[in-house]
Formats: sequence, structure tokens, C-alpha cells
Amino acid sequence: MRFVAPGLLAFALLIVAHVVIWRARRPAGEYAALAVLGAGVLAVALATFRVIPVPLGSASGWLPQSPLEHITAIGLYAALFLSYVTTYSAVQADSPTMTILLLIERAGAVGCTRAELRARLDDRVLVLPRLDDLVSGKLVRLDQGRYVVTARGTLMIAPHIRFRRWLRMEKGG
Amino acid sequence: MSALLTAATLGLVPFVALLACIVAHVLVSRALPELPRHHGLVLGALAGLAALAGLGWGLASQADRTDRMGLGVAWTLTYMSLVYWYVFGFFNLGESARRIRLLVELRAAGDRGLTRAEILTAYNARMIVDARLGRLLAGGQVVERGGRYFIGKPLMLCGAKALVLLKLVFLGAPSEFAGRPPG
Repeated sequence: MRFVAPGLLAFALLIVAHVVIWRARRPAGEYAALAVLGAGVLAVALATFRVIPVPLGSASGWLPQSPLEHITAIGLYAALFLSYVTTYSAVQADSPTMTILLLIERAGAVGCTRAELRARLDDRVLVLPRLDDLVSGKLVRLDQGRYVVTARGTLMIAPHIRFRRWLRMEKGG
Repeated sequence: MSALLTAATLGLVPFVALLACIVAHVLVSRALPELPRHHGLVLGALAGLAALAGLGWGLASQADRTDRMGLGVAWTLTYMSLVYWYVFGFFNLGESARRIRLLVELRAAGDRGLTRAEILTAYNARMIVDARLGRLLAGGQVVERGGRYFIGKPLMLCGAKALVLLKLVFLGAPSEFAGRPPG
């Protein structure tokens, strides 16, 4: 219990804080803000875990006490945080695959043709918003009508390119 | 100090298991290029799980006997979360993320960069729809009858609906384009 419950509790707190803050005012740099929130929630949770055993008394048996329990709780929280950010990225931007499925489902018994899907999902829906994301995230700069990768963009893309070479896989997308 | 070092070593076990998963995935992908990609991922994840079990068996004796079950559950949950991140947050980004693909195209163009028209020649909505539809057909999530597409296996559609629900919770709208025209 002491290995699992603290990490899960801190993670639940993160989700609640995320929903409340994002619904009140969605920050511009969402992922940086989410990283700060994640670290902040962990710090608050760890501080609380140190303070509350006194008022809780014998009911505090599920709280971390040893270094191993603390480190395991932090590891679990960090892993849950990473998977949470991964899921949130699919919430933040519409996935083409999911949109295709929803469009086909909406078409019902008559189904959908490829041309109908292409008409609904054009460059303005699938490509240009993501290009704008890259510019607003300073991964790409717009220089006299030409899009050029910045140093930050190169830093971000290099591990993916190298990793796909290791896997001997072609360009994705 | 020794207790802290032991704790730090034990805390790393799920992360080492993730490393084993990634190494196994790379080796399988290189050795068996014809293998479907999701099979390679499953083999990698199983290799990591085996590493987790092996390390756990060897190292858990350093923990208190009564704590071993809880430690095992925490490690397994941590490892599963890390594998989820690896598959969907790292590998799949290179596989299907549009931003990553755009960066790949732009990086290949170097300092000269690309105009919007040049970008859309190299990578466009038509290619995206065709690639995604191909994957959905191959996986049986979509079926084709007489040139029209219908839902096949409903699992991924349920995932899509769950994402719409999450969008409503986090963003207050069912789509990033709700209430404004795209582009």
C-alpha cells in the first residue's frame, strides 16, 4: 500500500489541478505549463506526506516512510505523468485517425467514400494547424515566406531521426 | 546512506526494464524487418517484463519481506506506464505525428527551408488520409464494401469517443476546431 497509494494519490491530485486550471485559463505554452504543474503537485504531495502523519495518527499507515517507499512513489508518479502527457497530446490536437473513425461512424449505414474523407480532412485541417504549432512553439521560424527549422527544432527532431534509423524504418506521418 | 543507495537502486528497476524493452524492440526491428510493427512492440514489452521479473527476483530480497508484494505492484504499474509512454509518446510520434514529419521535411531542407507550397508537395492531407485509412483497413478497424468505408472492429472507435469526452472535460469542446474554422 505504501509503495502504490502515494504515487496514485499525487497523480489524482495532478489530474484535478490540471482540469481546474485548464478550464479556468488554458496557458499558451501548454506542455511547459504541464511540466511545471507536474513538478509542483509532486512537491506539494511529498510535503503533505511528511506533515499529515501527525494528525492522522494510526490511519497514516499508507503513507511513505522509508527512502525506498519515497523513491518508488516518485518513480510511479513520474511514469504516470509521462503517460498522462502522452494521452493529453491526443486531447489537445485532433488525431486524423480518430477523426476518420468518427466521420465514418457518423455516416452510419451508407458509409463514407475516400473522396468524402479527403474533402473533410484537407490541408487546412490536417497540416497547416500543425505547421502553425511549430512556429508558435519556436521549433520553426518563418523567414521571408520560407519555413526554417530552428536550433530548438533540430534538438527535438534529432533523437527521432536517429531512433528511426536504428529501427531501420522509413519516415513516418 | 546505504539505505538510500539501496532505495535508489531498487527505484531504478522499472526504468532499467524499459531500457531492456527498447533495446529488444530495436533488435527485433532490425533482425525482422518484415514483422508487423505492433508485433515488434509486443516482443519488446515482453522482454522488458522479463527483465523486470528477473531484476525484481534478484533485488527484492533487499526489501522487507512484507513489502515485496507492494513493491512488485508498484514496479509493474511503473513499468506499464513507461511502456505506454514509449509506445505512444515516443515511438508512435516518429511513426505518425504530423509535427515530427513536418520537422523531418524541414530539417532535410536545411537553412534554405521550404515554402508552404513546397511543404504541402512533400507532405499533405491526401497522404495523411491515405496512410491512416490504410492502417485502419489493415487492422480491421475499418472495412471497405463497394468503395465505401464502414466501421469494423469497434475498439479504436471507442478510444476516439473517449478522447472526445476528454476534450470536452479539458477544453470544453469536442474538437480543436470547434467554434472556429480550421486553417
